[in-house]
Amino acid sequence: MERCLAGDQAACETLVELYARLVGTVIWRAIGNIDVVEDLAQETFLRVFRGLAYFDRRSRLSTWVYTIAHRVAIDHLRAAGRWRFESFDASPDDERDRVEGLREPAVSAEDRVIRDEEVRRMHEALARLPDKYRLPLTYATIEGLDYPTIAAMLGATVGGVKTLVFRAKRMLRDALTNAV
Amino acid sequence: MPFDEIDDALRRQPMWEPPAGFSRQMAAIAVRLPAQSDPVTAATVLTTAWHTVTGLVASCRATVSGYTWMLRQYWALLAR
Repeated sequence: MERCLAGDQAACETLVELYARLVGTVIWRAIGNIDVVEDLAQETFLRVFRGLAYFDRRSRLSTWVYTIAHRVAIDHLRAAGRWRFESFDASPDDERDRVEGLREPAVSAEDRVIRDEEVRRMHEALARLPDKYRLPLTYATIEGLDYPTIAAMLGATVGGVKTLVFRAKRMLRDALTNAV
Repeated sequence: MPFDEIDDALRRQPMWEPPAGFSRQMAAIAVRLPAQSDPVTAATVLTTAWHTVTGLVASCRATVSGYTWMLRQYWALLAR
């Protein structure tokens, strides 16, 4: 961080490499539209580099970076006039295609169809959740984000986030059960 | 549907992968960024300037009001 502040390009590159994947994932999950993720990730890192000199070292750098990513995503949703994203609703098939590549190969065709349907319904139900519940749950299922980090990102307590995640899962389960 | 399955289904969503050269490109931009003023200092300067201006305005109004009162008194004395 010191080297980055001193204008060391290699250090800045390392910082971006460290956090880019999670920054982009946070933004993608928050807005649900991959087309603008790269632009918003760039905006996030611009804000990071501009504010690095004023970073409060009492918290973790990663938490600060992910909080900025979250705010950039929310700013984007606000600017677009939609606090709730619509992309999962609009194109669940796109999402299913992306998920396809991550699945383990030893899955039968029948299981795959069932799982595809399950993922599609999951995304539809998730997109209908109020943002208050959707975002904590969405962030909680990102590998590498722990509850204290999510709490800092959302400006909530760890207990509060856990409650929201639990309620979100319950709402999601109810929505999926009712849909059957 | 059990919570574990909901969790699993959500965790199966892919992570974003930065395009090739993203880090290098961002680092190149970062080292060219102009130094930004401290937002706290900027806010303090703006607040101080605002207080100075409003203080000056209040002071001028008080002065004008005082002189007006004196002129009225003087005019009243002359009128007698």
